[in-house]
Amino acid sequence: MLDETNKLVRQVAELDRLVHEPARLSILTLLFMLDSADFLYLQHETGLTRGNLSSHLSKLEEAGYIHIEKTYRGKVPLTLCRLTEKGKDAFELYRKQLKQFVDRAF
Amino acid sequence: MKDNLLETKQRIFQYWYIDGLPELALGGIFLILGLYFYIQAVIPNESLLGQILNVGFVVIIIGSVYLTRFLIGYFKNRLTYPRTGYVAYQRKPGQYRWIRVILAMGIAALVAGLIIAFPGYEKLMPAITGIILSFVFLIFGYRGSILRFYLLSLISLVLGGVFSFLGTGGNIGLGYYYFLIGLICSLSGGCILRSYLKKYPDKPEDDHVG
Repeated sequence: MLDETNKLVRQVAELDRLVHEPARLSILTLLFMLDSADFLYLQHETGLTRGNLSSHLSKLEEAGYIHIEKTYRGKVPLTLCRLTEKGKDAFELYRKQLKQFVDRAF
Repeated sequence: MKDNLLETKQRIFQYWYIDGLPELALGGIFLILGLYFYIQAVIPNESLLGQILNVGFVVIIIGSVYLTRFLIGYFKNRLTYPRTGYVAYQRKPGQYRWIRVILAMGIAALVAGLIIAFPGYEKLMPAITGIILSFVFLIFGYRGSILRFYLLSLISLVLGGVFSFLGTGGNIGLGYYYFLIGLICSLSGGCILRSYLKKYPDKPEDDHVG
C-alpha cells in the first residue's frame, strides 16, 4: 500500500512543471486545438492579465514549447502564438502521465 | 482530461459564432434563395429569365457562398478580432472537404431523383428541405453546445412542415421557407452581433500587442 502511494507521489513529481501550471495548461490546451491564436484571444479565453499572460508566454517560448511571431494584420499589430512540435509532444506526454496517475489513484 | 479537452474544443468552435456574423451571412444566402425560388415560381419557365435562372442556380449558390465568406472575413477583421482576438483554426485534411461535397451532391441527387420518380413529391419539398437544414443546425448546435442552433433546428422543421402541410409545395413553398428561415437567421445573427458589440467595446490598437 505504501509502495503504491510512493509510486503515485513519484508520478506526480515527474509531471512537467512547465505544463503542470493552471494558466500555462490553459494556454497550451487552447494552442493544441488551434493552428495559432493571438495575444488578445488568449487573454480573453484564459482571463489572465496582460502582464501575467506575457510572463507565461515568455516561459513557454524559452522552453521551446511555443513560437511567438509579432506580425501585422493589415495595419494592426498582432502577436501570434503557435505550439511547436516540442510543445505538442510535451503536452501529449503530460496528458498521458496525468491520465495514468488519475486511473491508478481513483 | 478528456472532458476538459472536449470543453475547450466546444469553446473554440463557439468562438466562430460569438459575433453572430456567420448567422447573418447564412440568413443572407437563404434570403437570396428565397427570392430565387419565388421568382422561379411566378415567372413562366419558358421565359428568358426563367431559363437563365435554371442554368444559373449553381452559379448563384457558389457566388453567394464566396461572397459571404469574403464578407464574414471582412467584418471579423474589423469587428471581432480587434475586440476578442484572432484565431486560425486547424484545417482538416482535404479528404474531409471532399466527403462533404460528395455528401451534399448525394443528397441533391436523391432529392432530384425522388422528384422525377414521384411527381407529387414536389409538395413535400419544403418539408424535406426543412428536415435537412434542421439536421445541419442540430449538428452545429451539438458540436458547439450552442443553444440557439437547436432552436433554429426546430424552427426549420416546423416551417418546412407547415408549408408542405398547407399545400404550398414546389418552388413557391421553397421560396417562402427560405425567405422566413433567412429572416430568422438574420435576426438571430443581428441580435447576437448587437449583444457582442455591447459586451466587448473596442480596444485601442496598441493594446493588442503582448
